[in-house]
Amino acid sequence: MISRRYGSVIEIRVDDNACNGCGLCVKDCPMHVYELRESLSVPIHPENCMGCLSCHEICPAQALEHKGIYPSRRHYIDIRVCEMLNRVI
Amino acid sequence: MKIAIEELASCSGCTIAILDLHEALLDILGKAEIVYAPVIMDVKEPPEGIDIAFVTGAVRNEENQERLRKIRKRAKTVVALGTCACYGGISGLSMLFNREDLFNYVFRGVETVKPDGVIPTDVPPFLYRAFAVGDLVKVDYYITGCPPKEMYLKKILPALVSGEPLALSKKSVCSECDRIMGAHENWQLRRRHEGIPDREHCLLGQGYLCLGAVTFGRCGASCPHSNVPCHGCNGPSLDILREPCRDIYNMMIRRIADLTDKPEAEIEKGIYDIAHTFYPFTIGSLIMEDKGISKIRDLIKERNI
Ligand code: SF4
Ligand code: SF4
Ligand code: SF4
Repeated sequence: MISRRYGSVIEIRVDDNACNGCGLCVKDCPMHVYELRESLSVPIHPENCMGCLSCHEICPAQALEHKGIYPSRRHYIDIRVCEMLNRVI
Repeated sequence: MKIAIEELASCSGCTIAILDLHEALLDILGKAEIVYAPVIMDVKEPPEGIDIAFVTGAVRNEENQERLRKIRKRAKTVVALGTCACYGGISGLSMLFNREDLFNYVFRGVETVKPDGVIPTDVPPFLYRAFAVGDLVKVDYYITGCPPKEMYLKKILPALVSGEPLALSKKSVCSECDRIMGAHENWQLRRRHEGIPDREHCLLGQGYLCLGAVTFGRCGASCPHSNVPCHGCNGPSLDILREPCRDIYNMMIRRIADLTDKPEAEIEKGIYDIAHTFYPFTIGSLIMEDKGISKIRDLIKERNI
């Protein structure tokens, strides 16, 4: 459903197979986007998300996905690492 | 299609993992022929014109290095198979000792040593350090795992042979674990032998150094599933490989701090045997060592010689 009010909301997906329900994203998110419900994280306020991706860093299960938001550019990139990353099956 | 499997400094477990495919191996052999694999067949040298060469093991001595260069020349595609080939694996732990101690231990200090004490002269010399395969030659694909688990090899190998695309989850071991994680107030570090962990809750939360959060998942979290903390045998999770400021040690300390609200310095006080606890499978990897925040450099006994 598309509406103007929600037009700029960042789409947040929680991989519920991966989430261990630790609640670290709930605690960490400065915008209180998440809530823990039955041991699963639920993004109840995606409209508050400012795209800092702090929750990506803290989630031990890599369960969080923000559509279209990427971590900010890094100042240092190791070319060997980039090549290896693309080749891990 | 010609397949080869080369053994460097390894335990042969990765080749046995391929045999673990059982009947599924027959489907692969319908499309491809194994032309060289020292552990399972008697061909002394890899032939020319190999399509896919699986290389298992780290590079620890001159012979390993020579064999690796030869197979790279003779194969179109080289696959680093197993964590030793990808990150140095447990062979890398040999760097906790200098080469002389190592040599003496292996060739003089064991029960099977010949009573005449004569050391054979054709033993290949150790290199000055251990290397992962990708540190020395171009690698086309990496398959981690110590050894790689057959439930994944069953999907990966046919896809490699047929050239079909494959999309597997690339998340951490925690993402495959069925335990419940949560905050802990009176967290205390526990050695593996202390007590019996409760089966339902996260092992890290119970005080055991479970490396699940910093480890690439490819095992269905088999150790936590069997009530044993993860040792990190699949190598680092991809966020740790990718991010220069993340490393196995610092991210583990951070995770514990996040879960317990304890200051990181206090958690670090209780940490023991960093090499075997955090880096048993990655200490031999140059890529992991070269991270600015890695502790590997401080742990290696002898280097740059
Ligand atoms: S941090 Fe990750 S594992 Fe923990 S509750 Fe949030 S989504 Fe789930
Ligand atoms: S830290 Fe270990 S026990 Fe806890 S959720 Fe991750 S893999 Fe499971
Ligand atoms: S849980 Fe950890 S140590 Fe156990 S098989 Fe998986 S990656 Fe290896």
